[in-house]
Amino acid sequence: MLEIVLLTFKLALFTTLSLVVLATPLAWWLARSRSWLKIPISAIVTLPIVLPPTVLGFYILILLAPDGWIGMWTHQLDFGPRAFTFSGLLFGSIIYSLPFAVQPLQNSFEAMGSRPLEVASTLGLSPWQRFSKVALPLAKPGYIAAAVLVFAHTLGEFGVILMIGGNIPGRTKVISTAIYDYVEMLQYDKAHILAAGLLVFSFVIMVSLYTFQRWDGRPWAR
Amino acid sequence: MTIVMGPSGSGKSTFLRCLAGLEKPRGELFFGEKHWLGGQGFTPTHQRNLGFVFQDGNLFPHLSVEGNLRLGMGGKQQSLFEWNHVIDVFVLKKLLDRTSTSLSGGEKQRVAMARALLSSPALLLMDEPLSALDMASKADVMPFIEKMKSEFGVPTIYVTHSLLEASRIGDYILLMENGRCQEFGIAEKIFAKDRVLREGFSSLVELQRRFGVDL
Repeated sequence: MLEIVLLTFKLALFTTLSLVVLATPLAWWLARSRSWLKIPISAIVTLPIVLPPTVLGFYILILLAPDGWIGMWTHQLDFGPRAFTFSGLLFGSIIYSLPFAVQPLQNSFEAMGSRPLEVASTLGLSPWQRFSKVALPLAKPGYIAAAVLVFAHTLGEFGVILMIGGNIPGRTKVISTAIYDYVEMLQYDKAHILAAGLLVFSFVIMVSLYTFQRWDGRPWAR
Repeated sequence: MTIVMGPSGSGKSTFLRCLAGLEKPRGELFFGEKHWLGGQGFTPTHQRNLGFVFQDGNLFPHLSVEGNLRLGMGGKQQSLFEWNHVIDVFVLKKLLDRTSTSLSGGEKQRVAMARALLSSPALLLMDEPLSALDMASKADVMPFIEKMKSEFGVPTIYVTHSLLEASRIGDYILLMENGRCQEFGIAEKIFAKDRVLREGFSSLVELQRRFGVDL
């Protein structure tokens, strides 16, 4: 059982780290751009919230298959995500939780407006310095919200994981799918341990997030 | 110091933003030998070697007062003006450790001016730096603007609505209307030439003499 818990947290941690990095340029662009592409891109980013996880998992599975758009490269080069492996799971999680990272970051970048960046440029700061010394620290609440939400959301992931992970013990079996197995096998005591653990843990991190936002002033951004 | 005056919407702020490179207009702009706009292209704001003081200070809320001032120096140890001298002139020693959100409006503007100077500007742009302040704070900050002018002597373009600010610190006056320069010249001459300005100015002097009204 420990193996399952460790794998779940490893997946959540890796997903969170990847998304904090990957979602930054996307959120930045969505917050600043006036291009017509903004609407379709926003819609695509939000899709994982409204689509059933089975739909998402199904297409990711097809993408990662040996003859899929991504799979044909990863199989040839022996690198990158594959279905029924941890890397495939990570790939699926990143897509599944993308909106939970992009939205708080985008809100933060929008809330700060362009003035702090203008001030920084009149002080002689280069675009990179403006981002790292002004925008990033100002968006800190957004980053914390994004990280917490992605982490918690990945812990609670079920459908996508089942579709592309295959629920293989030690490789792709996580807490949520293990609970399903235990219930099917009528091992309610084991299911209880994992379910209650996840319930309490999720509650605690959401309480910490809201406490932080309260303490840090306005929620999401400042 | 050049004062830019004109009715609301006459393009005073936009003029400053164009000088700063925060807007990208058509046309040509030279600063000394440097071609800032037109010809080979566009010099971005951070390479223009200028300082900008906005209406409401715009200190960075995530940094202390000292952090704000240091950021203006961009990691350099030396600035065109000596750190201690700038701190003395704007009386900031006691404020250095304060968070920028805890300052009063007048204090924020003092920090904003010091921050702009520490970035070693060859040109200073000020967009109605007193307009967001109440009367008492205006009177508090005004002497600092005069001191800044006499101590550091950076060529400054200063946008304002206030005739008294213009009369106290202006060397040159530029009058704008509908985005164009209507009048430009030495302050005294402009004041003498324009009937409305002349009368307004003399009644202000009279007000000041009789009631001690400041600003």
